Amino acid sequence: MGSGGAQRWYMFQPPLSFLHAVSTGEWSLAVLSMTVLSLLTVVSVWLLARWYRVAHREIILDGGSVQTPLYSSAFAPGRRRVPFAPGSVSGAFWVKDVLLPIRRSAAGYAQQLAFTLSGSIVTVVFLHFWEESRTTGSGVTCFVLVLATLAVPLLFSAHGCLPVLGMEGVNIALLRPALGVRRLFIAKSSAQALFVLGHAAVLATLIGIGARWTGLAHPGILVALGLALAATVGFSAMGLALGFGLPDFHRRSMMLPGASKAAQFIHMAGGGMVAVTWSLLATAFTLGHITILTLAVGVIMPLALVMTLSVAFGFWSLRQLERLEI
Amino acid sequence: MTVEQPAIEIVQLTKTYGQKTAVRELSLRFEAGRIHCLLGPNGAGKTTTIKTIMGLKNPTSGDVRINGVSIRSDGIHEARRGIGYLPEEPLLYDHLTGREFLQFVSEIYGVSGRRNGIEGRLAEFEMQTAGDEPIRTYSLGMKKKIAFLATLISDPPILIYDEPTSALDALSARKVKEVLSDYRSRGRLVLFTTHILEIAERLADRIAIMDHGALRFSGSLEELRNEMHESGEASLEDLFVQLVADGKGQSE
Repeated sequence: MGSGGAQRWYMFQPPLSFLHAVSTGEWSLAVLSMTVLSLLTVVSVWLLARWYRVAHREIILDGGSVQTPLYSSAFAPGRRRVPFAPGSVSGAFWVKDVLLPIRRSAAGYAQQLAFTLSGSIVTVVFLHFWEESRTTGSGVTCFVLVLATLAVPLLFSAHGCLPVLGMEGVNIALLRPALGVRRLFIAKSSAQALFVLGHAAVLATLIGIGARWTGLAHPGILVALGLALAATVGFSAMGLALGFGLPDFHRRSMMLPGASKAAQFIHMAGGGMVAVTWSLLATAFTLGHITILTLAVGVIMPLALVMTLSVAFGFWSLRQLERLEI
Repeated sequence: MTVEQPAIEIVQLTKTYGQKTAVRELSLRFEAGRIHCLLGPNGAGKTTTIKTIMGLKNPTSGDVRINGVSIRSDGIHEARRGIGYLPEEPLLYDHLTGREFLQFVSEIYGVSGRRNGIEGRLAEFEMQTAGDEPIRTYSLGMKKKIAFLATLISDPPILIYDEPTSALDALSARKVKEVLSDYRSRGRLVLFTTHILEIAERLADRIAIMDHGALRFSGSLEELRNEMHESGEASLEDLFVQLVADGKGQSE
C-alpha cells in the first residue's frame, strides 16, 4: 500500500472525509464531501416523506392524495430505440423489458445500483484495511476483487436472463404464435444480454479504477474488462438457456418473476464455480505465476464448456417451448 | 352437399392432472360466423378446454384442429396467429401504459400505424386519457378492457374469451357485446365462456354445456329446450340449473 491514493480510503465515507478534509484544510474535498452528504440527505428525506405521506393513508384506502402519472408512449411511431433499429422486434422487447422498467421504477433500479456499488466499495475498503494490516502482499486481495468483478455479471444475468420467459406468464399464448419460438428467443435474449453487458463493463471498470487508486493488487482494468466480457457472455448464455428451459410462469416475486428455483440454483452454482476458477487464475496471473496466454486459455476453456452446454440446452429448450404448457 | 370445415374442431379431447380428469373425451365443432358459448359450473373443464386450444395445456389424448391444422403439427403456431385470446386473468405489464401495451402487441403482430385502430378503440371504451396511465394503477375492469382491445388489434378471424365481461362495468360490458356481435356479422368465430347466463342467452348462437369435464349438451337454445321438454318460455338459467342438477342426481 503506500500510494497517496491509498491513504484516502476515508473518501468512501462522506462524514469522515468531510471531517478529515476540514481538519487538514483540503477544501475541495470538503466541498465534494458536503455535496455527497447533501445528496444523501435529500434522498433520505424524500424517501421518508414519501413513506410518511402514503403509508398511513393507504391503510384507510384513501388513494385521493396520490396523483396518477401520465406518460407519453414509448412505442409511438418515430421514437428511437438505440441501440436497436426502429420498429424491430428486439427493440420492442428492449423498451418493454429493459428501458421502461428502469425509467418507470427509477427508485428500484437506483436501489439495485446502490446495492451493487456500495458492495463493490465496501469490498475495496475492506481489502484496503486487510492489506494495510499485513506486512506482505496477499493474493487474497486480488482474488476477492476479481470475484467481486465477476459477481456483477453473475447477479445481473440472474436478474435479467433467468426470468426472460417465465415473466411473460399467460402472454406466451400471445407471443409464441406471433413470433415463433426462435424469433422470440432471439428478440428477448439480445435485449437482456445487452443490459447485462452494459452493467458488467461499467462496474468492472469502476472496481478496476478503485483498486488502482487505492493501490490494491489487481490484474489491471483491461484484463478485468476482458474477464467481465467473458463472464457476461457465459453467464448470460447460461441464464437465457435456463430461463427458456426451466421457466416458472406462475412465480411473481419482486426480483425474479418467472424464474424457477431449479434455474436459479443451477445458474448460481455453475456460474459461481466458473467465477471462482477465473478469480484464482487472475490472481495467479497478477502474482506472476502464469502468463497472460495461460490466463486466456484458462478463461476460454471453461467459457467454451459453458457455451456448449448452454447452446445444447438452449436448443432443447426451444424444442420444448413449441409444446410447453403453463 | 359438402360439410363445411369448422374453424375449431375438438376431437375426443381428454386432459388429466394426475388422478383428476379435467376434460373427458370432449368433441365439439365451432363454425365461423357464429358466437359459441361454453357453459358449465366451476371446475367443469371450460378453461382447460380453452387453454388446450391456445397451447397453454397439452392434451392427454385426443386432438384439437384449428382451421384443419392439428395442435400436434408444426404449423399450429401459424394457425394460432389468427386467434385473439383473452384469458380469465390477463397478465399485463405493470410498468407500461395501456396505450403502450396495445402498441407493443401491434408491433409484435406487425400491424403498425393506423391499421391497428388503437386510438379508435381506446376512444370507444373511454380509455383515451387512462391509456397514458401506467397499468399498475388500473382497476381490474380497466385491465380487462385493455386486454380485450389487444385481442382485436390484428383483426383475427377467431376470438376466444374466457369470462370476457367479468369485472367490467355495465357500459363496457355492453360495448364488448356489441363488438362480439359485429365480429359475428363479419363472418368471424367468437367462442367465450361465462357464468352470466343472461349474456349467453342473448348473444350465443350455439351453446355447449360441460359438467365434470364431460359434454352435457351442444346446440342452440331452442334445441336445449326441446331436449329438456320445456316450453319456449324457459330461460337458459332454468334449463342450465335443471341439466346440471340432473347430472348430479345421475352421478350420485
